[in-house]
Amino acid sequence: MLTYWTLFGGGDGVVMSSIIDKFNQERPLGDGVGIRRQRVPWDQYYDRLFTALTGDAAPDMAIMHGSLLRRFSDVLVNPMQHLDAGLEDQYLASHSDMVTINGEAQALPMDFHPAGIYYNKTIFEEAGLDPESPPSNWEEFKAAGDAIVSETDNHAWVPTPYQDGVGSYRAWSSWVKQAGGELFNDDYSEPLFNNEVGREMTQTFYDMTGDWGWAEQTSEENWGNRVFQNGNLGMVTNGTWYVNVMRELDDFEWGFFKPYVAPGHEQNAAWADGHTVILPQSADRNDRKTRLAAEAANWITTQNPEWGTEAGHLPAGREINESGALEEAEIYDKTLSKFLEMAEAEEYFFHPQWPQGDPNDESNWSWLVDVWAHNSEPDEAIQGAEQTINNAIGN
Amino acid sequence: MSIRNRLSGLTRTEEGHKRQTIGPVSRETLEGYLWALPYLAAFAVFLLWPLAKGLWMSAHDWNPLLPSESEWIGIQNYVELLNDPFFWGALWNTLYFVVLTVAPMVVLSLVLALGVNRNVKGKTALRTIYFSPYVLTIAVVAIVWLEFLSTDFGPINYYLDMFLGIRPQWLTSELLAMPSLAMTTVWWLLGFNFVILLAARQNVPERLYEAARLDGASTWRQFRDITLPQMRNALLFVVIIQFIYQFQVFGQPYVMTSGGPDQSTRTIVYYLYQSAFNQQSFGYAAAIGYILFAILVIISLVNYYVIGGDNE
Repeated sequence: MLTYWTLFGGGDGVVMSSIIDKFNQERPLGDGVGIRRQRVPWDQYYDRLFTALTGDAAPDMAIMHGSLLRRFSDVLVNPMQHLDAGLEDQYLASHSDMVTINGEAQALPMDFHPAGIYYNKTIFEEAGLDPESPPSNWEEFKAAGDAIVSETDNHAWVPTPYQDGVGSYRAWSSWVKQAGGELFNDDYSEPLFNNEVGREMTQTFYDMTGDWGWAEQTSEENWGNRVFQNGNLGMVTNGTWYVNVMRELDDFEWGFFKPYVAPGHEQNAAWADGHTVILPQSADRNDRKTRLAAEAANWITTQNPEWGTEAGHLPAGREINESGALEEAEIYDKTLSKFLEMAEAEEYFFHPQWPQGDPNDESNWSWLVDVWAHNSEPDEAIQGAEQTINNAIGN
Repeated sequence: MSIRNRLSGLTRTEEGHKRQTIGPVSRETLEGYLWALPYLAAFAVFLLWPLAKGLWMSAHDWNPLLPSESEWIGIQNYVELLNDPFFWGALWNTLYFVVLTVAPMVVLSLVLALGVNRNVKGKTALRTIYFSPYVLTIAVVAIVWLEFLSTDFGPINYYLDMFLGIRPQWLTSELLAMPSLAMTTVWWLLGFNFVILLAARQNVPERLYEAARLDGASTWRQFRDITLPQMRNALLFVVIIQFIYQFQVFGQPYVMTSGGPDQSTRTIVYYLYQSAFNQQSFGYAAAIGYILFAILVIISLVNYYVIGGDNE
């Protein structure tokens, strides 16, 4: 049996569970090869995985976000070295880029999950906006937000439904990049966002809950999620996974649009990260088992279109993307098609892949939430953020 | 001592008891060591070894994934720590939290223990009620209080808004976040102190109070001159334990505020956790642990001598 750790809950947890069930029923690698899946809750996952890695007790395979691969590269096996030559072509180039660090694959890519904007069509109608023509630039976005606030009793937009730092970073960093600003240097060893564009975007966040009255000045966890699901929020930025939440809401007329609505927009750019399957180094695992783990990871990442059609992510497998399966998905028109267009046009950038430090640690980005909640002033916050990030990555 | 006794390993002590000796050590002493051996072994493996390993790590730029590549840097982690504004911020936050929790928790639990010790109706039920929050895990406590303290959706603000027209941002404003965590903590952990102090109060001999009453001592005088001195050891224990416990606060800010807003609830142990698991700076985290250890030793000693006085 191959041990396999995952962190998926909710909709994509169910899909991953069904994929592993299928593997264990079909036994594509032979009768003797099965997968024992262990789901660790998201908030504990990386701590446990990290502890397992340091204690040489890691599973044969595990899910890891692309943004963490550089940090753990010392203890990861290159799966390509254990697969037949040519199998790397099974993956889309964009996804392969994500897992390649210093010219070597650190994992097998499973998906991309960029961020976009979900919106409430009913509120758009109430505000006198065309629910079938969501904003496509800053002027339209600003006008839509102002109309929602002035014409209805609802809130306009939040950068993240969870009111969390990482979620805020998705929206904020997308806008910084769209306006031509930089976030980090090439090897992610230095933050560069304390620049004019970065400050402007931070000020925009501040104004939204200040003078513009777009949302409450709050950092309360899940605030955006609650008001959006209650039908009191017009627009919210979030990733591919949010589609499963939206699908479960009865009588909720919702739509989705690409997030290219930054003030001072110069280029299309959306924040993205992705799930990958890693093979941690293990003194106890022989070459045969490592090869089987690589083949199982290859099967998981290339043979399961439901990871896109049901879980809502952009699968890394070329065959899945070319098979037409995604086009037949119920969510294709609403979200998948737009996410696919964004990926095919390479209109994305990766979440920071720091050599040290956890880019998903809340405290790195909580300054954005504090600006949003008016707990701190924009300029002061971004200066503090630079110091925080430098501290986090060991500068 | 006869030759026969010496050969058989039997000696006669001053009190006249017979004691077996094996070589220079008495059998009783040896047995004592043998009984203590399992604990001493566990103490060495689970405490002394980690302490030594932690100290060793704190003198390195420790690479947890490849320990053999760790670099010896001496006291550099400690020097950096003393110049780290984040550490001082976390220390200040922790001190603030300790101030907000320890005194109310000790005083309240003492008041409750003394109250429930009286002949009130339903005192068994009250004892259960006071103690019951203590059995909850921090995850449950956090989830419950996150709901209660929610600015827009919580029942507390619902009624405050209804009657007073205010909706405080309990967990999301710098002013209220730490007091809110402290309030949650006092509610959660009060039961532990309560049980200890109640037991201590019940051990105070009633004859002392009877004698005092015969002498015409007021309730306050009885409390000051009998109750407090008699409960001194229990109070000392509770105060020291609470200082140690509250200085190590982690779960509440981790789950309820993520250290925010604006890092106002990031505590020392939270910072230690972040240094280790998020920044992968295990040597630095070990140094934080040792500073915390030193602080706790000093505070415990101060408490011991201030509250304990000349009590042996």
